[in-house]
Amino acid sequence: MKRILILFLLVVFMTSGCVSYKHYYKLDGQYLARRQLETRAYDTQDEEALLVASAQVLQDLGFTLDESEIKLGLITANKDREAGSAGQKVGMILLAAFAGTQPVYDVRQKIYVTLVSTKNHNNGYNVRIEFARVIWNNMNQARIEKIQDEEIYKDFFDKLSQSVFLTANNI
Amino acid sequence: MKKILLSIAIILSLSACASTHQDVLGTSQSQVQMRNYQSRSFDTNDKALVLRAVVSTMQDLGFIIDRADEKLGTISGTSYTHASKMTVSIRVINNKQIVVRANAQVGLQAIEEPIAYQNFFNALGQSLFLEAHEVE
Repeated sequence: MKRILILFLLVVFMTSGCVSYKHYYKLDGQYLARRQLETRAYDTQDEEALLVASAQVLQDLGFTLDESEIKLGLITANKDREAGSAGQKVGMILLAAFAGTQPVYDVRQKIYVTLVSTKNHNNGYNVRIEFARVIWNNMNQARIEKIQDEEIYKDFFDKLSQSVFLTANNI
Repeated sequence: MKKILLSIAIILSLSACASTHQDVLGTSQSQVQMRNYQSRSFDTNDKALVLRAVVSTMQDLGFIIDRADEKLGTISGTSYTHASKMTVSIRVINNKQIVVRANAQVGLQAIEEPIAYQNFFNALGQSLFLEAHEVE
């Protein structure tokens, strides 16, 4: 009985116990590298045109815009998409069938974007973009992640460069 | 033994009885205490500069910005590195100082640890310094 009581108390204290947030919002050693990955400089003095071009690229990529505050140079957007490939799903179902468990695979994701322009010291503007996503599996459990894939950022900025050029030249 | 278990059960059930009033308007600390660690002032009256620094700091910390209002001076975001939400508001005082206030929550719980805010303001201080002097 004593054991049960101690176990019970332990469980209660564990669930009601405080979580520490002391490490929250501390800049880590990687933040400058991330900033570099997420930022490109554009040789223009027209911030508005740069933001218009950015919004166009986001639309090209299928995002819907949530919020824009031109005075802060800010655009936020999101899109819902399927998550996980068909191959991955089949693989997980087969594995689960062998193991006799319920298969768990990703079904959908919501991708979020923050895009910000800021004046740089070369008399141009920097554009910084961040991608993050929430992924839900077939059990409706969600997980979040910041997208750090270098290729994705490079691709986006290539598209924006084209868009700036097109917009500037009014084709 | 049964009595002990019963009394523990009663105590726990009582402590779980937070009223709606407590949920909506309550905090576990005094308002003054909270304002104190959730706020910092900066010696500038340039609202746009501070707001842009807040956005940039939040980005450095892995936030995605959800809402921003330049007129009201508020920015809200979701952190994808430390799963949490934060709102930052700024106001100009005496036309020479700007007070930045931040409040954050994780899931269903407000962050009431001053150190977390201290970390945020340290990062913001760095960002303001960088931007004010245009050093990258």
